[in-house]
Amino acid sequence: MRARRGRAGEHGSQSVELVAALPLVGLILLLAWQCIVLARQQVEAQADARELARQAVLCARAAPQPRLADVDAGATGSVLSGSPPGHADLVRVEVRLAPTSVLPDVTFPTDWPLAPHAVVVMRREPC
Amino acid sequence: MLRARRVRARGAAALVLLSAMSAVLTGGAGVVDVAAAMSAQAHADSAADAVAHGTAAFLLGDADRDTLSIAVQAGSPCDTDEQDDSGAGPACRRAVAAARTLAAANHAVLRRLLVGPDPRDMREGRGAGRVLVEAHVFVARGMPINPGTCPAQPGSGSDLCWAEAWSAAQGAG
Repeated sequence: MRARRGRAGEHGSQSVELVAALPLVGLILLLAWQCIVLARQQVEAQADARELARQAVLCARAAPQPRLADVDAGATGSVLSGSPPGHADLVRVEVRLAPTSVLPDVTFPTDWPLAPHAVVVMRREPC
Repeated sequence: MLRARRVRARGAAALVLLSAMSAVLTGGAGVVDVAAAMSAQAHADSAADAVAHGTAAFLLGDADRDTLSIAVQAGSPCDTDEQDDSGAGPACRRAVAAARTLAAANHAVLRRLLVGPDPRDMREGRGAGRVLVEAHVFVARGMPINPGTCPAQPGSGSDLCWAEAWSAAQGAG
């Protein structure tokens, strides 16, 4: 009788441990997924910055400055472009995308240190 | 006997938990590492493009470009891997300096720059023509695990520490 109760108690404690561990495992999996999403956005930011810089250095001064929506229709974020100090012949394009969150009820600010962010510097092509 | 079974059950549960946590931690570290590798490779690709196109654009405005073009057509190397590139003239040195500046501005390290003749202009009696620029750069991968073991410069130690990319640009025309 005592042995049966002891075994049942053991099963019960194992179930409680499993129930306690499952949310933790789920959270770790979500964090891993979040990491993958941020990495993909980082690659996207790099590609956007490269394309914007490539367009900005072309000799077409009358053309309007390309916008983020022109090179990446689905992206939301900010673009900063200009010349580095003392280098008027160079164009520096900085793209910062709004980080996508897969964690429930969690949003990341755009100025978050891990937010997708890319800088490309290219030389202006002569006209 | 009952105690022995309980101890065995606890041992098995601990083993399963340990294996599961190890798998999760290894998987997490793997995900972070893959993320770092992907973003470093994209960065390296951009930097190589910027250096190749930027150097080609620089040479378009260089006063000694024709001398450089004739020299590389004649076989004088303008290559950072060569010991002596003086035969290619001062434009070659300026092109290398411009490439290094652009690489540094893109947080990359120039591994090799090669300025060669554009095959479209390699004809008898053509004279000076367009040039072909090839750039090979490295970008630090930012290893999430034990970054202190990475060398300060590429080309030595583990290649896992650096992402490399190559790009080329030809003069338009």
